[in-house]
Amino acid sequence: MSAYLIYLTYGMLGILFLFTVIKSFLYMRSPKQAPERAELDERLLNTLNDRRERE
Amino acid sequence: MNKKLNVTFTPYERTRYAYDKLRVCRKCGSYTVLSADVCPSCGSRTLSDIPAAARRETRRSMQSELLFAALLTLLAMFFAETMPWIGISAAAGVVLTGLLAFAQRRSYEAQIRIRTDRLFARDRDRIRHGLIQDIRAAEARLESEPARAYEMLREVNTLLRNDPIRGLQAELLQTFLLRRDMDLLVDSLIMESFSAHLAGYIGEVARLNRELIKENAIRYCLRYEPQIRSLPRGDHILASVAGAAVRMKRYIELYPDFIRRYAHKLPEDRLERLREVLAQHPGSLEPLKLEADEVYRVRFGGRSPRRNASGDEGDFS
Repeated sequence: MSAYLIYLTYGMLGILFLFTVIKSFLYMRSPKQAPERAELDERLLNTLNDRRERE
Repeated sequence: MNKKLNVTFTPYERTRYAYDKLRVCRKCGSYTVLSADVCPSCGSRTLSDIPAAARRETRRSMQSELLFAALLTLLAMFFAETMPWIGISAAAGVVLTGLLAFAQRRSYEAQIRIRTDRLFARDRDRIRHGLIQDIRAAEARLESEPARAYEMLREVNTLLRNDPIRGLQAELLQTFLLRRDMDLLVDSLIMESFSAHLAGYIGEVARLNRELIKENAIRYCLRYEPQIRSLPRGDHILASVAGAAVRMKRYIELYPDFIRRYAHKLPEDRLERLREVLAQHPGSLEPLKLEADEVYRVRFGGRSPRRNASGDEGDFS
């Protein structure tokens, strides 16, 4: 039984490794993908006002 | 003729972005632009601005990820039986969690903007509902506190831009006694369709503070010139707008025919201003120049020109 416990440790470390590497990669990429504040403003205004026009 | 109301407005607070006006309640999740601290829906003092709400959500999500990484580390240490493996698990956990924390820190501002974008997409209907509630609150005050109702509509119009809201504001403004010291807005009221109230308001603003008359207002008057002309004192409205337009050389160049049509109604200072600008650019806009000279000759004959003290923009740009 105890021999198998180490595999759990490997598994936890593996998940931790994958989780942090993927998350870190996504975070490092996000500054390029994040919209500028002016863009956010425009999108919100378009969303709120386009719908109104359609109605 | 109805007596106009003598009112005072609180100055309009201009923000860099329209959504800077928006507030969300931490308790009930409703949106408003009418209050900075007390939620109009639930009455609690839990309103926060959008960047703060996005920051809170981002921080919470990042903390959850760090906690998950710490939990995995602890589990790895718990299942490791030997001291070396406990040490390896702890070291790997610290390094990897540290890496995650570093990446989070590096992209914190970008994450806030991404979160804001998601928040707008997710809460689109709730934002609209909140703004409609704000309009209803303004409508409830139309009779009792028209100035406050106008201020409320002015705030809603920052985000919800449509003709009914603009028309209602123009209608309210026409019931007020407007003064030069008031914080009046024109550009944000320009509608797609024709409104006699808006035309009247533009004419009044052109008389009170011609610097507020910009290209949008001039274009609106041009587009609906026949309708405005058919209004009582419609010619005066158009002449005031033409008079405001001559303050900038750019507008004179863009709308010479419009100005020419109302040159005969321009007051003396406006006419002199027009002639002064045209004289500085000989050879251009000849028909307008001829009209301005003719009107001047007919109206003032041999009188010497009076100096212009109207505070026009000096660079004629």
